[in-house]
Amino acid sequence: MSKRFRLLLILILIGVALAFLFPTVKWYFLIPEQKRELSYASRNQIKLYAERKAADTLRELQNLEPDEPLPEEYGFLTEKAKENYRTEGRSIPRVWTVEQLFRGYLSREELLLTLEDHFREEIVELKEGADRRIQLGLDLRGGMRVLIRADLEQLEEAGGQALTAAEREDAMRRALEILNNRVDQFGVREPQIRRQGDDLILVELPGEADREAMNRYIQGKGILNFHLVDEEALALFIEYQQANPGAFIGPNGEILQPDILPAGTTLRGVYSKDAYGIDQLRGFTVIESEPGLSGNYIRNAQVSADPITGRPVVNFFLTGEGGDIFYKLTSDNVNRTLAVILGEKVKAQARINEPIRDAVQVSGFDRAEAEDLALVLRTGALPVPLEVINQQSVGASLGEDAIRIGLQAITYGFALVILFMLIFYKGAGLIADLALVLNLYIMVGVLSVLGFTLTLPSIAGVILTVGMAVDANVIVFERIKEEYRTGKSVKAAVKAGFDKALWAILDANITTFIAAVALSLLGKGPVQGFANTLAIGIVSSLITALFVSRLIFDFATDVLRVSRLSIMWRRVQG
Amino acid sequence: MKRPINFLKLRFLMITISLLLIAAGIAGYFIRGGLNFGIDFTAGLVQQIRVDPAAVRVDIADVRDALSEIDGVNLQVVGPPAAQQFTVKVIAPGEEPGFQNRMENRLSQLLGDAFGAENIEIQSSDFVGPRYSRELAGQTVSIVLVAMLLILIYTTFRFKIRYATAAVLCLIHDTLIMMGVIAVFQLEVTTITVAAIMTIIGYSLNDTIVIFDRVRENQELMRDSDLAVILNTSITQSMSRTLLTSLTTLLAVATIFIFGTGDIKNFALSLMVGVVVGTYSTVFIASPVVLGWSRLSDKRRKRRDIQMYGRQAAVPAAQARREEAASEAGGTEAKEIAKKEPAGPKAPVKVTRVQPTRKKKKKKKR
Repeated sequence: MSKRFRLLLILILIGVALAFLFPTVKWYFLIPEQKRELSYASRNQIKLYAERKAADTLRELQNLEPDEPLPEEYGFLTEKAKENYRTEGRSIPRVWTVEQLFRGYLSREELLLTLEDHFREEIVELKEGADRRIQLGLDLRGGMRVLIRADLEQLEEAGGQALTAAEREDAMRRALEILNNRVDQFGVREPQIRRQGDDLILVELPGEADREAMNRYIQGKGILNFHLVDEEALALFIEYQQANPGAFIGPNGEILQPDILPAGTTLRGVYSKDAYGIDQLRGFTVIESEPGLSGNYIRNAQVSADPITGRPVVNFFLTGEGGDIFYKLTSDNVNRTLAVILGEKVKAQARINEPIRDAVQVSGFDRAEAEDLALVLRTGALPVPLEVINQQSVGASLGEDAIRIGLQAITYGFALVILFMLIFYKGAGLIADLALVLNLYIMVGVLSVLGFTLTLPSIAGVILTVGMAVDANVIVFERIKEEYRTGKSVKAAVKAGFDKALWAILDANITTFIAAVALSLLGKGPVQGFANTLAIGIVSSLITALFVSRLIFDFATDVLRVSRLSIMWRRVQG
Repeated sequence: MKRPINFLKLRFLMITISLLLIAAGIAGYFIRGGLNFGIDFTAGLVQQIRVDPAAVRVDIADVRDALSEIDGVNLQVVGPPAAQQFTVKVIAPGEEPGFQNRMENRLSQLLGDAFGAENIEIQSSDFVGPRYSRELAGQTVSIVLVAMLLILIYTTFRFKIRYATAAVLCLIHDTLIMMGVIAVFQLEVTTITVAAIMTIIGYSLNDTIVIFDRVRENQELMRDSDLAVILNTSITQSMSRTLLTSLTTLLAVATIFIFGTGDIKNFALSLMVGVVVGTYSTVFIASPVVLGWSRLSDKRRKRRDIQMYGRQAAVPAAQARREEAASEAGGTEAKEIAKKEPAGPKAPVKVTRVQPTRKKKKKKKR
């Protein structure tokens, strides 16, 4: 390969690593702290933020002179306006003024909604981008991490038979549904809930650790009940809502009970899943506080298609006793609305058309909604016992200490190795140091694009890799020295040194790589993080030592025509 | 070229030292009552607590008194004593639902009663359930075994089985000595310890492979030399690299040791021990094993040759080997011969031809 081609390859490598690195750099250095914090917040919080910000922005826009050109930061608003101009057959202005923008919107609400969507999407994008940047582990930023196991064996014992794969899957989905349903236990922050493996669920909550909230979260049961909707109280509430919009929403998005409601009724939010599968508040209803029927009476729930219309319907079946209660309830309340409530959220509402006993059919949804409702109903029928098998919490102050310690160790470890190489190998040491810096850079880039979670053990892995990464260079340099001593020219010694060292380096690194991969595949948590850094470090140190160092050497011998080897703290006898 | 140092001369001494070290580790294991397992492997609750130094002055004895009614509680000071930070470790007694919450509440209540609830800060809390720790323990053993097996396969493929075996024996040696140190000093065994051991396995292997690679290269160049000479030469040639890499790695690990606390400090300590042991074992364990194996198989071959072809046929080659073995240190000699007889197809005729000249040389020396 020609030198120019190799240089090009290395530059491409550096460019790719930079692209990998960018989201991490952006996140930690370019995005303001406030927005980073917001991205950890619950969806409701984000919605509230977007609403507030949209109202503020609209006010700012209104304060501008109508014929002033639209400031660049609001450029995103022209898109929707253009669309409206086009549908109305008007010509699109070349330069947008504030007034022209307003004319592009049909109503104030439409403009507000566009603004709100924009701000919301901004934060949600940050949230979603987490897997493309280096994240700080629990031990570094503080927070809680709980590994929960769904006790499927207990379900099997209760059912008296082994669960099929589909049944296990369903049980896990029910467990996740119940957990997702309780996220508001944490108030402002939203935990990340992830499924791990066959029967494990990982819940992570960044920031100051609130163990009590976490315990409530895990232990709370997914209580499912049927409540009648109180139409009179609901009418009262709607009147009140029009007079005092937003008065019944607490600072953390929780629902406050307005005192105009008659005793024995409760205000509840109506939720449905948004595009991200997270419950989103859609409206309100007022229910009788006493449940009409407990969800424990449900035997099973399924989705099927209506034989006539083909529309999806949810069928659920009650136990005999439950059927008696339900028959009484439904015959007394024909034409009233029944709400399905999981925890404190209204998951579905349906009008009672006729008295029903133990086989119930609910219709009027699309397929996804029907599946969701059936899942909710099954959480009442077949609760999945959850067991905490690993819980860690780290205070934020301890995390800050850990970051400081980690950075110090990396800085000093790195500096010591660099200094040592420079003193020992002089000119060649400089090449090794360059390779080392590049190595660290590539490593961090790859870790970043993998959305790696940086913990203290993985920082130790990075430092260790720095120490070991010079090894390949050392092998080559020692070999070059040997060859040079036999009387070869610099160029020949460099070539022989690299060629003869190649297999020693490859063999040594491949075996270490095998150990790292075994550790990474079989290990869990901190061990895995450590192994991944080690494995990535091995590959990038091979690239930098065999490829980058070689190119610099070749450059020195071919282009600069260096005739003396600067590879030793004392002169090498040629 | 540097004169080879006769490392192998020390092999019996070094193997004895290693065996003594391993024995000491095993003795330490039993004397200290086994390994000090962290909750990763035993299931339980660990909390790091801080008693506000501005409000009350306490030492570890006060904390121990405060928690005296909890059975099997283990206390340690974290950082400088004046910072008043402690870890409290309680082992979970088997499968017991609700252990975590109950113990958390009990700890904070007892500490709160003793030092005032507002002065207690729970800095971190870590609970591991019995099932998790059991799985982890099983997994750990399988990780180490699988990794060793894969390494054995790769090195067998790249070298001969005797080299692979020597490398793996070397790794077992390193692991045993590290475990011994961990047992004697009662360092806490956590998943991070496993990572440390695996790192050292990789590191020591790295060292061993670099030397074996040199041995393979030198076998081509020094066809007529005895294996002991080749091994010594290879170790000597790789020596500066071995020392340099150990030094840079130690530099890096030492910074972790100096700045780290708790688990990470222990991790760095195990690594430092491992780097030293790994470097030592490459020189003094791996190569002697290869030598021993080769000599044994030579003997066996000789015996087989005698059985198959009669005594005469076997004698010259065997004699040559025995004499070479007796000379052992002859690095310069070996080199000269190697230069005179550059690599070429190995024929028994050649061996006999070289033999007399070498005998003459030895006589001169004597």
